[in-house]
Amino acid sequence: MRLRVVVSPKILRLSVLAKRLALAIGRFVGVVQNVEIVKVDSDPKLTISKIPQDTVAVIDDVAIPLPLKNILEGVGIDDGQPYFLEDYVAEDYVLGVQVIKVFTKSPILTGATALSAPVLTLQRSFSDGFSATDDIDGELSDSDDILLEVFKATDTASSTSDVSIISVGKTLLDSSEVSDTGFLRNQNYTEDMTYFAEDYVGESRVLS
Amino acid sequence: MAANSSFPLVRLVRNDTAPQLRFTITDTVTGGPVNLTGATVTLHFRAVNTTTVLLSRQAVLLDPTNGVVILIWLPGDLDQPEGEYEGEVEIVLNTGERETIFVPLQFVLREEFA
Repeated sequence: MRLRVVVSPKILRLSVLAKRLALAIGRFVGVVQNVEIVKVDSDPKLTISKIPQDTVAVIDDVAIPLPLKNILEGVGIDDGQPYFLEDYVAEDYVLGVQVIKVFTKSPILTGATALSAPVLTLQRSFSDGFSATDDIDGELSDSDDILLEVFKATDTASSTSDVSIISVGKTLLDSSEVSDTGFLRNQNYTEDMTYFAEDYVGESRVLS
Repeated sequence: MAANSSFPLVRLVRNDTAPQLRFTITDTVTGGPVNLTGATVTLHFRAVNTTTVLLSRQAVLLDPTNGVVILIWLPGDLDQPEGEYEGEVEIVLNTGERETIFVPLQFVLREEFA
């Protein structure tokens, strides 16, 4: 008899999902060693000067009307007594109408001048923005091994304030003067009131 | 030095910045390139039989879709004493998956004349 044995082996296959590395030695890409010194010099000085000289002039012509003043003066001479102690004139002598002199005076307008100025407040704001970008070849590219970015922001705020204080004053000067000159005579003795050199009859007043 | 390293021995001179190393990373199953878009490939460099990593230099993605990166030495990287060194290539994909090439690279570095 013959025994026949058949061996049926199992075969195991294993795959490892690994990475394989192939190495080549040489010069494959050009390399430029750039040495760049970035220096930013800036002197953010802002010199701001302003001569706060403002000339403000306001002239108001103010005309102040003065109230119209009418001067009406009546002068009467009547003492209720017979003018003559004796019968120098006829008994039916009637004292004439009193002389009334009317003085009128036109209003005097005095021009008034006033200087006034408002208060001016001036403010100014100054701002200065500065930025600089430095790079190997002037612009960002894939060939840049070194990227230097320099940003500098300079903000300077300054203000100027001008305050002008101007005194406002008005000088009102009003002067009025009334002067009357003349003479007043009261008599009806003669037609010509200048007949007598002196006040022999009647009464006269001199206005000055 | 590991005798079974499948990578060529990289010969370096102190303070050099060349030669560059070009890595092509492929998948062991498909054999196709690994898409390295958004990934980082870093070489960790140390002396043989030591544990201190002397430098870790990130490679430049030259052709990421085809798994090609370039390692460029920078001045000072190879300012190391004469001797034998080894490098470990570490890949971190954009998914965050980290995988290191098992077999390290082998370097030998000699002093420069001047």
